[in-house]
Amino acid sequence: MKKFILKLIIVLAPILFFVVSVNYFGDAANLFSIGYEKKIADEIIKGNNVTNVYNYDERLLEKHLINNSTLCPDVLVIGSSRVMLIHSSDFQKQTFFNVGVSGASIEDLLAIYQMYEQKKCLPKKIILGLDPWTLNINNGQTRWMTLNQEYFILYTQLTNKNIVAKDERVDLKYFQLVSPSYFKGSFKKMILVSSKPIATNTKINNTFTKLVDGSITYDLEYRSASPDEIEKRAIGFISDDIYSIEKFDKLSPEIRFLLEKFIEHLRSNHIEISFFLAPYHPKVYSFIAKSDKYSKVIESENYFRDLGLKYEIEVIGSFNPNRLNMDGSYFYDGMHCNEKGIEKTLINEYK
Amino acid sequence: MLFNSLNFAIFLPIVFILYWFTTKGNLKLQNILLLVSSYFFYACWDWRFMFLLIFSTLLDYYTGIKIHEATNQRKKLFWLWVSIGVNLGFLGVFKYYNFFAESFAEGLSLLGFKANLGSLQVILPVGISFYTFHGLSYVLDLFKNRIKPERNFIDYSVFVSFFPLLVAGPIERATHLLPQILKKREFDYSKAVDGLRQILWGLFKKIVIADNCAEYANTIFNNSADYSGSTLVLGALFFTFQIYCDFSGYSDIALGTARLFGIELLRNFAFPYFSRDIAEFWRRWHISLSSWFKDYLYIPLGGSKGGMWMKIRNTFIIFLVSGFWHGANWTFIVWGFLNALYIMPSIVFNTNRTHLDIVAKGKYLPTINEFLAIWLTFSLTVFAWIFFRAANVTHAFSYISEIFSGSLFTIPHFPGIGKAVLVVFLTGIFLIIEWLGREQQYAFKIISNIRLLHFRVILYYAVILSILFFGNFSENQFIYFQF
Repeated sequence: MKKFILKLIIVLAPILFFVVSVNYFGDAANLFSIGYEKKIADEIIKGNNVTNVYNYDERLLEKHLINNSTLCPDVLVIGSSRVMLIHSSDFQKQTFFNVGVSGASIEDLLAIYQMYEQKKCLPKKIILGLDPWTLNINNGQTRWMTLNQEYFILYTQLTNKNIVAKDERVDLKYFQLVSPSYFKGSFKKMILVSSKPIATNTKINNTFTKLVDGSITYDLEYRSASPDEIEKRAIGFISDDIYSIEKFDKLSPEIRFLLEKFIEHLRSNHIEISFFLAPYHPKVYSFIAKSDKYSKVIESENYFRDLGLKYEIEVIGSFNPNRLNMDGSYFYDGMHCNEKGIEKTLINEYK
Repeated sequence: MLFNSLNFAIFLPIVFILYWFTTKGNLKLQNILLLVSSYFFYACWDWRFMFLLIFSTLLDYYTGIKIHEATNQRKKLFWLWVSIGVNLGFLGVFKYYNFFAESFAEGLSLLGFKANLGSLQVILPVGISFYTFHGLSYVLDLFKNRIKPERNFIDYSVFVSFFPLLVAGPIERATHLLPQILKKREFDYSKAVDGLRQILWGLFKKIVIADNCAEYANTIFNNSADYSGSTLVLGALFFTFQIYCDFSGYSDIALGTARLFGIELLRNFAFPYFSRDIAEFWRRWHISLSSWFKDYLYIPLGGSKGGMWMKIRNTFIIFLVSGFWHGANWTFIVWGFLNALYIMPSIVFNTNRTHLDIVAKGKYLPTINEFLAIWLTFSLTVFAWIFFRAANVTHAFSYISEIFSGSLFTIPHFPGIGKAVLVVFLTGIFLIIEWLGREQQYAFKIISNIRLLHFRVILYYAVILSILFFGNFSENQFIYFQF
């Protein structure tokens, strides 16, 4: 028995050592490289765009940006990656900042706003990017935990329920040291990519770029995909589980309650609100609309529109691209509009 | 808790160490520990269904004793039907109610009537088809006086709930598993090594082959209208290897895990894709289910007694029931029906037991005739899998009609085809290992024949590294968990 365990340890130890080393030094998501997000934030605060950035913690970056920037924007965009292409050029007469983060859930919306409130730097207007999964309790999003302190402060204030926040991200990050999926990304990064952030004046680069106004641009290759390639991306998007809207059984009453409280809170602070509903690629939307499984997507848009009516909030866009007269040429993939699509959505052609 | 998850990688060593170090060979403690671990394992899926599992266990435990104690055949039959009725009742409600309600309503609407029986918003409790069949085999064996009832509830519960087989089999028999549970287990070094080796092979099959093939099978099946016939053939092939490596990979992990605790489970797969006819395929695919249906359905129905017509009828019944067992969808029933059709020539000409040994035993290569027979059987199986995988029967027919169109002769194309070449290459390597190891209980066991320890270790490392570098770590659920 002891011989078995000893031999097993001897055989597995080198593998474990190899995996942990690659995960630590390759560090696909920059979990162990202290200050990666701060380096990006410092460049943006200096007035530069930053390119060659990979797998950083977007929440942590926004935290650095909000806490260290002197800018108090008139217009703030909060939402998921589906709003991250809204640029300051769309709002020329006002100061602007885009604090969108990938896969934003209700927790992110609250936490990011809370950071501005803590800083006593309230915007005049918030464009709130709402996605179907905002109302899905089973959306599987956990990345907001980076900002769980901020989230729970506002949550407690809005609901009068006291929850003690704990930094679960710290606990979770060490699991990645032995994670085989993290190993693949870390190894690839170690071999192929130098991820040192590069300050630049250009907006469009060979690698992903975080712009000085907080918005982003995709890398040149992703942007220049042919219509066929984009359609294939859209087909790929619906080929398996659809991002964050699987197990979407109901519009969560808890989230609806929280969202309404949040809106009331913003209004009490005299902040003008607009809802932004980013469209899906026509191929994706038609698949969603035909399937009973995803019926809550349409219900969630109806709910957002009712909410807009109730609180007299402007609703920009729609999950349905047909309502905006948008074909595949307005998209980069299954769920992200290109800049042309964002502009068209902002014009709000939906009647 | 999935076998291919970090949680299981933590759970298993803890239970293993507690089992061998703290119980010190005490059978009672060993079984209590196995039961607690199994219930914990199951509760990690959904603790609410624990009650169903415990109720089902209690029911069969109690009815088993009652059947044994019954003084006449009528009472025995009464308790047998209580057990069968309640067990199948649960299965019917959780798994089949919506299917029957919808099919009934559709049938009536064809006749011009409107009916709405409503649908149940229920989640299918994981493993229900498996533990229900465990319990049923126990009471049926008691009824037939093949075994005596187990009066120790803990020991009986371990038989039903032993965690390696709890959610997707193999479907065990009381005659095989209970005696092992009642016997004190001693640590056996070579069995433990063999168990680990089988777990490693199962993980390779699941993470490297099945989950990578799944990616392309899903892309192609979910958007089949967009693809050419040649691409659809590739999609069917990807699914063919996905389902085999997914389920047999699961079974390997289950058997290997059980062996770590000194328990041997029934073999579930024996290289089915090397079969020379469909009868042989069904002796090699999901063996524990096929033999369950044979023993508890085919033979009670009369089996092959009563002439050719009875034999044909009974064969169709077990294949249709077997299809239906997989899920409440007409696709599974058609799949079962197709397999019944395939096996008919063997039944009619009485050649269904021609190929009992593995193909080309003791040789490196099969003969041309054997190769052609394998190729034909494999092609028929791939064709039937289209029904198994399709969303519905209409989808299956449109998939097949597109295959047999002019586009069959175009170059296949789908998103990620470049990466798919690597998956095809890995599947090729896998098939070679399966072929070389086809006389073993599982292919990778062939490595134990290598005398040089260093060479064996290098091969272990090669498999581990290929899992790390080529594995798909999305922690995809095993297909058979849904059944």
